[in-house]
Amino acid sequence: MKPLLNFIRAGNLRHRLLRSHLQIALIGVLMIGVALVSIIWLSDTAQRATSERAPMMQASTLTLNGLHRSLAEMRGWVALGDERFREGRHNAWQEEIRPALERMQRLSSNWIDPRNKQQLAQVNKLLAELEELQWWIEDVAQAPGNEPARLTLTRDVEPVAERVLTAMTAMIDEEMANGLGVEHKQQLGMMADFRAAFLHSTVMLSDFVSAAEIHYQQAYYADLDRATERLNSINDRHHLLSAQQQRLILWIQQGFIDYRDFAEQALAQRQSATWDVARHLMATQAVPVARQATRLLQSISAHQQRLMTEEATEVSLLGSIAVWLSLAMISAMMIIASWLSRRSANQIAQPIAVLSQATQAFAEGRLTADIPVTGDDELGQLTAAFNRMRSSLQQGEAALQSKAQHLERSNRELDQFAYVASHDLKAPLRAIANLSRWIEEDLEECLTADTRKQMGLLRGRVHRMEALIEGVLQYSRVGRVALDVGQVDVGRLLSEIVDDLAPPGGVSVEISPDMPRLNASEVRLYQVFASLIGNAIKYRERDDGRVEVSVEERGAFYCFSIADDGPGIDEAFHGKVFQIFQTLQARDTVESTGIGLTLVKKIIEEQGGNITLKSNPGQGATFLFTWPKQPPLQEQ
Amino acid sequence: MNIFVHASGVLLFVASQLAIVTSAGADEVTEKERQAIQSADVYLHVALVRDELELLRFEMGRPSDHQLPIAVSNVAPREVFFQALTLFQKADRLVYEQTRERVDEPAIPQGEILPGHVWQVVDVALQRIRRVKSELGIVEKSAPGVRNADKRPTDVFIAIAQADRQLNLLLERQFAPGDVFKQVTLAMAYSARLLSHFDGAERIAATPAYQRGKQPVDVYHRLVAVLARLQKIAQQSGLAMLTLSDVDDAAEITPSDVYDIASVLVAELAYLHHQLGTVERPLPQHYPGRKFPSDVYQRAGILEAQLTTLQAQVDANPDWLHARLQKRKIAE
Repeated sequence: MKPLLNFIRAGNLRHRLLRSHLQIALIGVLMIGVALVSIIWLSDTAQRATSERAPMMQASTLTLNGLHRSLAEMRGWVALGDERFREGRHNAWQEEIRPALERMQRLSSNWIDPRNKQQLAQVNKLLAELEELQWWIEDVAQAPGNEPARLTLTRDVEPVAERVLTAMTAMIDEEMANGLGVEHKQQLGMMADFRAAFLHSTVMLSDFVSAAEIHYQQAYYADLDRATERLNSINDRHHLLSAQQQRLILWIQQGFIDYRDFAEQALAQRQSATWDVARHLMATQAVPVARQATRLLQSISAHQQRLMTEEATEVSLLGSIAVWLSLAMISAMMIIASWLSRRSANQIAQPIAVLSQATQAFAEGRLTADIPVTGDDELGQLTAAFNRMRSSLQQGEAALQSKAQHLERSNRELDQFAYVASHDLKAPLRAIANLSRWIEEDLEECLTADTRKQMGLLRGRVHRMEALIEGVLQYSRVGRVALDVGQVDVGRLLSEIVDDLAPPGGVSVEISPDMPRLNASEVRLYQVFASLIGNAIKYRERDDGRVEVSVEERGAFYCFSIADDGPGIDEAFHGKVFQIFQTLQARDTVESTGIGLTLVKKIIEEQGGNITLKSNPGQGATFLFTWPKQPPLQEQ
Repeated sequence: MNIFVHASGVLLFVASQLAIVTSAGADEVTEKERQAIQSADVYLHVALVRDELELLRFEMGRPSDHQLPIAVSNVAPREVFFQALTLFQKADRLVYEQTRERVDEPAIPQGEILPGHVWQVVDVALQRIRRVKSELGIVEKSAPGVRNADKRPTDVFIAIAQADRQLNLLLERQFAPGDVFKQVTLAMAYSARLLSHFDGAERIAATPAYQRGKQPVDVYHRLVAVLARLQKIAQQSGLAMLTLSDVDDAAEITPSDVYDIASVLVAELAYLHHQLGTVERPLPQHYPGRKFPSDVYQRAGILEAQLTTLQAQVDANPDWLHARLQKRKIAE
């Protein structure tokens, strides 16, 4: 708890940034959570529709199909007695009804409404009842007891009838053997007639038991009446019967009574509703139970379909709600996140912006006061440090300005000095030169050759002094006096220099044709090239000579090369040549101030470049210097 | 006629049957008289039946039964009643064979079965036998024996069983496996009704494989085992049933004996079913045609499986009977 409180209260930048990000992330998580809940709800409803309703309907339909199949197979067994129907009925229960019922039972575990469960329990009970009924129907259908009338016919009627017919046939046989008189012939006719009528009655009875058509019954009764009448007639003529026939007629009479009784029983059984037990059970019990089960299954199926439709509607509605909710949440999240971000950004970035603006102002020299420190976090510390830095830098700047002013003053004094030197020092020199000439002219006739020579040396030293002063003046002006910067065609400039230097006839100056055009101070470039080419021409030992000027690019610089085939310079003097007032030969040998290369070096370094020398005695000298393609800022 | 008629018509039916019997020679039995009848009276009546049967046997020249009495104990009047019914059935068949006459079987009484009810059935059987006597012209009369007050239902049961055996020997068409088959099927029907009270219980088990060459004794053994299982079920349910010992001598068992034990089974199952107090009855059974002992043995296998299921259900719900009765009372 404590770390959490510390985290909430902590004011450093890291924690504030983390808190800001976590706030937005938390909102995102909340929104996603709400969206997730709606999606889970949606998914759950859809899942229920697909994993419960549809399978339940399917199972219900499968049960119905199995139920109808079992009934059809049972009817087939009852009607035909073919073993395949029995197997078919068994399979209907094993493969369709029971698995489907088990599935329904499993699926119903999530049902909430107890009425539905009761309905399913009722279906189970009815189907168990139906299965049992079907078993009994199947059991009795092909048994002799299934048709009581036929059983009575075969078990009771037919044996009695056979005995009666046998007895009557015996009587007829005896009568045929005995009687020749009219009465006996009539008796014989009666007997034959009885036998025919009785026999026909058995056929009619059998036909009635088979077909239950009324005309068979009527024919049976007609035959029975005729047989009764003939039997009575035979009995009326008892005196015509032999002792054997009398015994037989008694037997026949008893048998005839039995026959009639059994036949009545068979007729009644055939007319009874239960004449076919299996069919009766099927019609009165199995089919009603099956119908009841069918109705319930259809009701379950319809109920599930209704629920599925409702859930489909619900899914659709939830889907729309989820979409709109998501959109609303996205919008809300954007607004809240935007507000929070802005608030956090303001809290965090405001000091940075202030600091940035202050830095900008400071860079532009407009910042004169401290930035207010808004907190004790890193930004506050940074602001405080900035304030200290600003204060320190402004103090330094003031010191620098003071020094710059001092330097400017010094420069001005130097300029003044240069002016004085160039004017005040050069004026006496010129006066010395003029006076010496005037003296020489006035004393022309008195002067010896030696004096004239000395007068000449005097003026020569005066000119050298003047050149030295001029050289110092130019050196001092480099970097201090701004010169015009413009587009310089180096090739053209070099041609002009060569023309100005007017090299002797044996000396050639070769300028590479790929000289660039660059933005620079033409005066300074002129000074550099003129000094270097002039030196190459000036310090040769032969009458002829060759100077080559070439160039190549090196990044932001051009590297110019001035090579000659002169006497060359020993490596020991390579550093000395750039020192002021240093000459490798006595000034009396070659007139030189010793400032040229020093000036060249200063000009080049002033431009940000550098100069080097490659030379060995007897191998000529090559000066290489770099010059920026664009002039330095201060020069621009 | 269906022997299991609706309860409301039972008394009227019994009355009508008694009227028929009366017309055949028996005195009408009032409810008061029936209440007064004891097992000793029934035993005396059965002894009369056996005497009459002996007269018939002599006249018809049939063999005498010398089998040992069956070993049974703890018999209740209801069990004797069902044994008496088998006596009636055989007597009726004898009458039919001799006279082509038939009468309906006495109805099973609703409520407690008393010795008086047994006496009535024995009396109906006696009248049927006397009808045959009359048909055959036998004029000798059997003298009533001496009443022994110590006789119990078990004694009556054994006496009826012996009369049954003798009666069976008088028949042209003796009780055959087909008759046993029908009784066992009826027992199955009762078992199915009992199982219908347990949700999810298989009411009729799959038919076991047919085994050729079975003898009546095999069926007898199987039915004795089934009866023993039924007795356990009854015991668990708080009811008492008779105890029947198995036999060792296979040669003495006839289909008639098997029929008798099958009838006992039906009686016990009917009794158990009656305890549920439901009005629904098992479907009536019909003549199954010619059957062999193997057919009966197979069917007894179904019955055995049914009772195994029932026993498992009762094991799981020992107070099932009480619960059903309570439920019925609440429903009423």
